[in-house]
This record gives sequence, structure tokens and C-alpha cells, in this order.
Amino acid sequence: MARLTARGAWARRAALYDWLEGSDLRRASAKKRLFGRARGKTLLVGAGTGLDFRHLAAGSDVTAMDISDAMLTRARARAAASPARVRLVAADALRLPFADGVFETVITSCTMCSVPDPLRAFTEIRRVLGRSGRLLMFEHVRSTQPVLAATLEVMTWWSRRSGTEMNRETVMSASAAGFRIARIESVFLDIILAVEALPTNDMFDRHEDGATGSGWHADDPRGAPPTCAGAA
Amino acid sequence: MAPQRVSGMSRVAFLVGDFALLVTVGIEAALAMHIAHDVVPGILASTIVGMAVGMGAGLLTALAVRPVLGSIETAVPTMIGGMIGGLAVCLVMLVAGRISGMFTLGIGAATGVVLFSMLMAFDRECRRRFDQDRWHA
Repeated sequence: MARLTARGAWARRAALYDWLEGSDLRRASAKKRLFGRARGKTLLVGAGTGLDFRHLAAGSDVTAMDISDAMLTRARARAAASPARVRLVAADALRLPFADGVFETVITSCTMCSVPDPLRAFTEIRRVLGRSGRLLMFEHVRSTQPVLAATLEVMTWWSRRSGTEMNRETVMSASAAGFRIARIESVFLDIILAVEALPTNDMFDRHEDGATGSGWHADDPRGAPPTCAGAA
Repeated sequence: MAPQRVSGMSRVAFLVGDFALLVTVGIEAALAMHIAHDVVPGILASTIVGMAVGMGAGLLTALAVRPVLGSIETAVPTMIGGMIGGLAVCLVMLVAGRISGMFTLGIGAATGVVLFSMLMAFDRECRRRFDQDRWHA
């Protein structure tokens, strides 16, 4: 039922989505930088109308999924125009129709504010992500600044009606689902963040990756990466 | 050195846009409160109406510019600006009694400038907190 409700809600929003979320002008460079870190077979969770397809690395192999057929219909032209090879799939983020560990990178872009159960979605993402994979999140989260946090709470009173929660602790949810936060970039205050996270199961045998610079291992002299407490 | 998020010119353009938006919203909120105190009887009722109208006007302004300046990037500051612009007028009226329309405009613009400055300071703090060299390639 929740799935049907979500499908219906997003189908209704599809027509206005590009205008409502047309913030790409400001966020484009941060997205390009974050999504440029994708390696290998990539899953984009919550593709929407495909606004982000142009930020994907040229030639990359991307499976872009969304729960809404209406969104995917609108995304088709953008998939064809994308520098990446994009395959569109209608699927629910809470029940990803992929085998364990098949993706090297998973990307989310303002997705976790809208899934009904972020922890379950992250658990699914971790399942389909390979041991040496990475999660790249471009997400808006609850601020740590009390006035901004209160404002986001108030905004959630009505944004929730259209399926969007402005006050989620998304970084914390990722940590709770078994991800180690490797890197956070502030895109807008501490509300919109570009985050790179690694599955915790391989954090101790992970080595510095000269190509990406994102690696971390237990005896790293720089100390531990920021936890959700650091992000909060 | 934290990486540059957008090119220099774009960054300046967005800063100017943010500044203009917050000053505009501050003025709208202040004027709404001023007019509400003129036409709505009772201090409590006029304050509530003034704030509601001010915040509503601010959100409409944010809605108009969101494709350029961003959705969350405009909605969050605008909501705060719509509130404090009206409250500032109330506060000044409590202290000084009736104030002129021009003075109200000045209060609204000033609240926009103050809010912009505070957000800039917080933005710097967030960059320091997150964008450290050691977490970047």
C-alpha cells in the first residue's frame, strides 16, 4: 500500500518536478565533483526525471532506478543525452531488484528525504554494493544549528504531505546501516551535503587509493574519518 | 584550502542573489507588519496577521527565484527572514511607538543584511568543519 501511495504521489509530482527541483544551476559543480568519483558499475537510486544524468562520468555504466514510471518516462530523453550509458529501471528503493554486491558505486541524489524508511533503504544499498564499493550521497539533512533545525522542522509539517522530509538525519542513518563516512563536503551550510561513505565491512583492509584519495585504513595517522557526530 | 564549489563569478552572482533576496524578504515582512498594525485591531491579532502575511510574501518570492538560486537555499533563509523582519518592526514599535514607512523599509532591509551576514558566517563555519584537506583527494 505504501508503495502504491508513493508511486501515486511521485506520478503527480513528476509534471512539476523539474521546476520545483530545478536548483541544478547552483548545485551542478558539487554534483559533478561527487558523481565523478563513481567507479565501475553504478546504481543511481531515485533518478527522478534524470536531472542528474548530465553530471555522470562519460562512458560510465549506470543503472538509474526510480519508483515512479511517470518520472522514468520523463527521464528517458535525458538518459539518451547523458554522457554515461544509462539504463532505466522501475524499482522500489526499499526492495532493490538486484543481486548482492553487484554494484561498485551507488549514488543517491536528494533521495533519502523521500524514501519512507531510510534505514531500510541504506541496508538495501549496502547489500547491492560490493565490498570495495562506495556510496556517494548528495542529500539535504537536518541542520545542527538550532534556528535552522527548527525552521526545517516547521517546513517538514507541509513538505511531508508531498512525501519529502526536511529534517532527516541521513548521515546518521547511513552509519547505522553499516557505512563509514569517509568525506563530507558542505554544499549549502550544513543542510545540503555531498557525502562519500564506505561499507564498514572492509574498512580495516582498505588501502589508500591514489587514484581517488578516498581510502582509509585503521592505522591511518590522520585519525578516524568524521563520524555522524562530526557530521551532526 | 577547501575546494572551490563554483567558479568565482558564479559564486559572486549567487551571493548577490542571496543578498538581494534576503533584503527583499526583510522589507516585505517589515511592510506587512507595518500595514497589519495599521489595519488590524489589537496588538496580538495584528502581529499574527502581519507575520503570516510577511512570511507568505517571502515564500512566494522564494518560489519565484528557486530555479535560479535553489529550492532549499532560498526556502530556509526566506522563512527565517520573513519572521524576523516582522518581529523587528514589532520590537521597534514597542519601544518607539508609531514609525514611518521609510523607517520600516530601513528596518526590513537591515534585518535582511543581518541575516545574510549570519548565514555567511555559518557557511564559513560549515566549510571549516567539513571541507578539510585531509578528507579530500
